[in-house]
Amino acid sequence: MAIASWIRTFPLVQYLIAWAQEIFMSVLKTGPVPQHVAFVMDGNRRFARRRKLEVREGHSAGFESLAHILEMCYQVGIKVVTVYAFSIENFKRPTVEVDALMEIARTKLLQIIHHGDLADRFGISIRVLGQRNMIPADVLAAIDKSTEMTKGNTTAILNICFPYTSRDDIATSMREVVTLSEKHELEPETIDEGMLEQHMYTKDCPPLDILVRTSGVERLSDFMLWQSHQDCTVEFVDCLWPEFEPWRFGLILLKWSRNKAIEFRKTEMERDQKEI
Amino acid sequence: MSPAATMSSPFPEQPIGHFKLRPQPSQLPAVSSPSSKQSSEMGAKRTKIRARLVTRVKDFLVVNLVPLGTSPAYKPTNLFQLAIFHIYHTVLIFLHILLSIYYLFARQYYIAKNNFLAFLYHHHRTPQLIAQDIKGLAKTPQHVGIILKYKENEEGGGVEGLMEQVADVASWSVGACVKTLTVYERTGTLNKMHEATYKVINRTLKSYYGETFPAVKLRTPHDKTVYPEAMAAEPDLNISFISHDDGRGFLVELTREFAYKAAKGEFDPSKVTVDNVDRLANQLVITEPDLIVLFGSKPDLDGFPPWQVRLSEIYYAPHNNSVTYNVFLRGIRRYSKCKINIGR
Repeated sequence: MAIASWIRTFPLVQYLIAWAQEIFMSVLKTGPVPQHVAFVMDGNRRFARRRKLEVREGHSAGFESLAHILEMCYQVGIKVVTVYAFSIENFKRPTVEVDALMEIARTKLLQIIHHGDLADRFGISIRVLGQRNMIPADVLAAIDKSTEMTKGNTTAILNICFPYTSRDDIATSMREVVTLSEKHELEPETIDEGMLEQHMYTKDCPPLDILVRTSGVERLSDFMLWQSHQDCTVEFVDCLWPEFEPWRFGLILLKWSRNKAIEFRKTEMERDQKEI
Repeated sequence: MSPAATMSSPFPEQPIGHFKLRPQPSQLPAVSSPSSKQSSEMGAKRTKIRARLVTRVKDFLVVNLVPLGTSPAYKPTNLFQLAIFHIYHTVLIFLHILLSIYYLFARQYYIAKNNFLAFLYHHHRTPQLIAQDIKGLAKTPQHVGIILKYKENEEGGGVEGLMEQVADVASWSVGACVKTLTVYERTGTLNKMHEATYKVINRTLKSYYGETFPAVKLRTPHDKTVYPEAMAAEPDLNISFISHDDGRGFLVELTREFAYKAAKGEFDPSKVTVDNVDRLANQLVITEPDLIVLFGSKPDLDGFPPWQVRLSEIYYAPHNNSVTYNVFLRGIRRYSKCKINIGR
């Protein structure tokens, strides 16, 4: 392992890896490509604990991992990436850690939108989904600034769920619909799944194709429940988020691409049979 | 003239499928010989046909040769791109085939593993063996959800097959000290068949536990029906049957009900909170399962109620497609090891 990481520090090797990744992504692009991918970035703290780092450094490593994944999404043409950054339940953590997380969120958001960084390079427009009223003022300012500055980017969308739970999302959407009904702006008979979806945080995103959960935990943990409980590929990966290496994500994309290609072939054959 | 005509014939007049043909090129090559009127007309006609042929061929290459699933962001627009596209696409197909071959072997491995475990852990219809299998586990789930699939025209399929599966899982659940069992089946076939299911379950329980077999109570939240309606004592196992309608459908129904009341001014929208919806979902459908065992080969929830899967441990055995004891047992063992820390 140590040798592998040592070899990886060679400039030529790095160049080759980047080149291979780009080729692989071009190959994937010629088949079906998911539109919307979601990640539960689980395992930053465990990573820090295992490597005897500070919790803060674990979160930073997680951010590096995210940057790499975003690069791949950009290369392969994924439209929307949703990440679970902070749960409403996370406020139950010790105050020191919550404060540290907020500080990380603030600095990283400001870093992303910095000229020439992630948002600029990949044309990402940033959105923050969740309960705004629970966010401290300074972080909120950073959020508003980043959404405002990246509004014009159209290549891809990065949804940062912060602070978010799916149940809260569903309940909020229900509340909004009921409020509309109270104001007599809609007929109660017309309420359906689509209308509830129209009031969720992910309203203008394409349907979720892949949900990746790291650190070997096989649970959804209140993330994108409505979006992922049907017609969605759920992948539980047995590694911590900072160790979620590009090849793992590449393999997930390849698997999805194969399954979709088979599906397409089936529908094509059915269509041909109908024509006959 | 004639070879051009025959060559153009394989390309039909109308675009194939749902793809639109590319627009006609605006510039046609100039006509060369203006000497005689007839020949120039002929030449114009010929160039026209040739130009049309070229666009047809291009359309065929760039539109019809590109496979259906290709992402719209990467449709080739010229011949060079098309060539590159096909080189890459060939590599992709090769990779797909490699993956398929891998799956072929992986499936054999998992089937062998399943069979071995089935041999190692078998209930033999004795509750003592089940009790032994779960002995020493740190915790066992109180509420287990299972996802079954209705299979038609298959061995062990049909309604009888589903009933047998439910009866088996119910027997194992009683042995594993599970208090509530939720059976999810997308189409809700078993929702209205309490009496027949009850008989099958009791028959199976008898074969496991002898004459004094445990009591079960069946419930279909969607129809608000229970069977048997009157029971002497608390049942050992509550079984709920839910279907796709109890998932998103329930939430939509709830919203609609609230909306009706709100429109009449009898309901305050601010009362729609996570806690209230949760209470109603627990009351009217099911509570949150501790463990969901999928008897399918993929982690596909198949439309299981989204509100209730929040923290449930999801267990599935890769490449397994049957309802077997060892999968159920492995699910319970997985649950006993998992650590749930909300938000921590």
